[in-house]
Amino acid sequence: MVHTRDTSARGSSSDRIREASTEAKPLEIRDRITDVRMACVVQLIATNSSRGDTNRMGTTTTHETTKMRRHRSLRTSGQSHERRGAARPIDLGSRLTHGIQWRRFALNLTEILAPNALAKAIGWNDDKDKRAPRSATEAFEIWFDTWARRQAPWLWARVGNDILDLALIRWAQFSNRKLRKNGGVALTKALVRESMVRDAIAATWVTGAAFRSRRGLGGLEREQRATAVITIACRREVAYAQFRDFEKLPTIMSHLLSVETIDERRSRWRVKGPAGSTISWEAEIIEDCVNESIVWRSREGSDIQNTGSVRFVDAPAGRGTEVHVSMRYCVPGGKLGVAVAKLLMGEDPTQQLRGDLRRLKQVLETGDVVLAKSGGMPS
Amino acid sequence: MKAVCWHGSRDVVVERVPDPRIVSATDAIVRVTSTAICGSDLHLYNGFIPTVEKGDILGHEFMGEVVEIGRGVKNLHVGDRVVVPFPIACGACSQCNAGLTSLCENSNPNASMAEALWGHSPAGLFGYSHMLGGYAGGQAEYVRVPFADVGPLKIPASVSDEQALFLSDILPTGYMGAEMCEILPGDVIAVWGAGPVGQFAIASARMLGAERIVAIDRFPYRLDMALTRAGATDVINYETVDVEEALAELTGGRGPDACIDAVGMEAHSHAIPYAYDRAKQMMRLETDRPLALREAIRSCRNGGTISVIGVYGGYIDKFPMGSIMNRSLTLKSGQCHVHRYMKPLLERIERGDIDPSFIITHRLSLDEAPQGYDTFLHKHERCMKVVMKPATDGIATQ
Repeated sequence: MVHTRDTSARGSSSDRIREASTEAKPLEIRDRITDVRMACVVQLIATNSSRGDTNRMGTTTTHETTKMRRHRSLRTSGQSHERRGAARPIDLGSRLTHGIQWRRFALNLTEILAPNALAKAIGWNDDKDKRAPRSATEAFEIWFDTWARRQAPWLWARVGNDILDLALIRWAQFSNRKLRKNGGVALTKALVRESMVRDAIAATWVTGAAFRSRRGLGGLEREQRATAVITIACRREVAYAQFRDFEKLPTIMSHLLSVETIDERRSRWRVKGPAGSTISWEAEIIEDCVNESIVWRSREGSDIQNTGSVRFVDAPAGRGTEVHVSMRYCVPGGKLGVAVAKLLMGEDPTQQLRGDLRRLKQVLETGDVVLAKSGGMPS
Repeated sequence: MKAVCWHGSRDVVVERVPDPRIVSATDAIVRVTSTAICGSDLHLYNGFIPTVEKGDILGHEFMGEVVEIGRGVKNLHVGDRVVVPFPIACGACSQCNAGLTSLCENSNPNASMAEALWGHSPAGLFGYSHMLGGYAGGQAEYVRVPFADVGPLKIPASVSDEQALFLSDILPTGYMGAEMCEILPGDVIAVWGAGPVGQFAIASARMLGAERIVAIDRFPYRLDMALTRAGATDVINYETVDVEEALAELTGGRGPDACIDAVGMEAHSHAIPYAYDRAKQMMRLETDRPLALREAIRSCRNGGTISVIGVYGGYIDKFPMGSIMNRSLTLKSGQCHVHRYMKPLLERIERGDIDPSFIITHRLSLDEAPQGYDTFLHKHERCMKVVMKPATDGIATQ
């Protein structure tokens, strides 16, 4: 699934979206006949409108993925990045759930006002004494649908509800022999199953969207950021000189395998990748302010497109030098790729960057990288 | 070499492990002549400190003889008899320069683990979890000591191992606990926990001129020692006496001017709150049981100081912040910055102001470590402090 700013597709399709669903049921077994009946009614009425959407959903997704691939180029400007971050994603959860409340509202209302008619529609007897509690349930469902339809937990609750419905139908068939051969019930069962799949997709999407928006940056193919900062008790010139000596950095920064300088501006960097792999890129310095900052970007043909900067700032009142490093990079799989890398390497790139800066500090302040491991510590 | 290795909760094993070696030019290898089990080792022993792994060598109170030095070491020579402070400090970062050596910015290679739990990382410690550096500890025949020019303090022959050993941790820790109270003439100091650190906090409060010092514990033999050896003027057994009431009585209703928590995360109590905290700790709803700390805060006089030297690991529940804020209390704490106290305290030992060896109740060999941990934990045989002597063939261990 991808994020994009293609809001037109969303607007034009939303009103055509229909979806099958099923009703929330009380848990009592003695209500099971009424519940099965309701499930039947809802599924029968909702069937027609549910089919086209699945197709639509499938094509939309593919379309957007290819489109997004074309947007892969790396942007370095913070502004353009913020703008892209603000782009509204295709909201599949909204699509799948949009319009549901009106259909369900009508059904719920029918159930409250004319339960007998509904019951007759599928040929089952109504328990008249159940009418009051059922009306209350329906009223609750109206509220539920209008308020909670796009909340992930409620969507998951609906998936659970679908499973419950299936169980109730099974139970009803188990206890009433007639229902086993009832074609309507068999159809209902199939419809509830379909509904369950659809609800699960919607719930997964909404959950994913909530997760992605909480993380700020979007889904796949997005550039990632890594920043780290540390204060080192040394003069700015010393910190700059140590950092600028790229070829020596691998002895300090444990994640760097090697750095070869090609000329004054260009250098080739090799870092440890996940699962024993090596990732390399050719970096080009695009700005080098002596004792203040270095800005670089990767050149064509690099394994990982990246751009970054390091700034050296005087800390106040002789507290040394603040070293600020900021990197943007594209990895295959975006956030997912970073998560996989973290799984394989135990650290994500931000942690690695921070660890490397800590080692730079150790070298500048104590003359050596500090190690705990010795012959005596087996672990 | 032989070393005491952590194998799990309440499971330590004396194992053969590879000898340590010089890793950095500023390292030294020390052959351990005396090493002690610390109360904070019991937190590891009980499994309350995260990131301890099977096979980790325990121990952070040790002293011995320098047997090897890196080429960059200038202040030490092979053969020197040294006490090693438990925090590892580089001596070069801003915190070390400020004398706050337990906050060294360079000595914890696993700082990111500590940052995840605490926000920022303190110094690395010997034998005290991977989160705090993953350094091999001193309950072993040999130890690698990083930054050997910064930490180890040479001990003159006139001072015995048993007198000098506690300079590595508990004597400076107790002293810092008393120092943080900023004792003025006439002050009453209450000390929760009459274990080894509590005893030294009491002795230090006396050295710093406190008027009265109240020891609070539940073991009569510990309260006895506080009264007869450390210099407490009053004792409270919290199992038989209501602590807040007794302290109010002792101080004319004002409350102690400063309260020292020398108990930490595994506090006991005979009352209902103990069951409550115990249950929450078991369910991982809080990591530490702050029973002594709560009592110390409530008992302290208005405007007084709470000095926390007992070890806490993570999160506590029902912390009486309202009492601190509304009554202008000051809360001070920290792992001891041992380096800055070692020399002055060694001088006090040489002058005879204090003989820290009074707390030693058990002298064992390294092989007896598992039994030592068990005895210390359960306070069997009136156990106060266990000292082990790994090197029996070497230099004089009086």
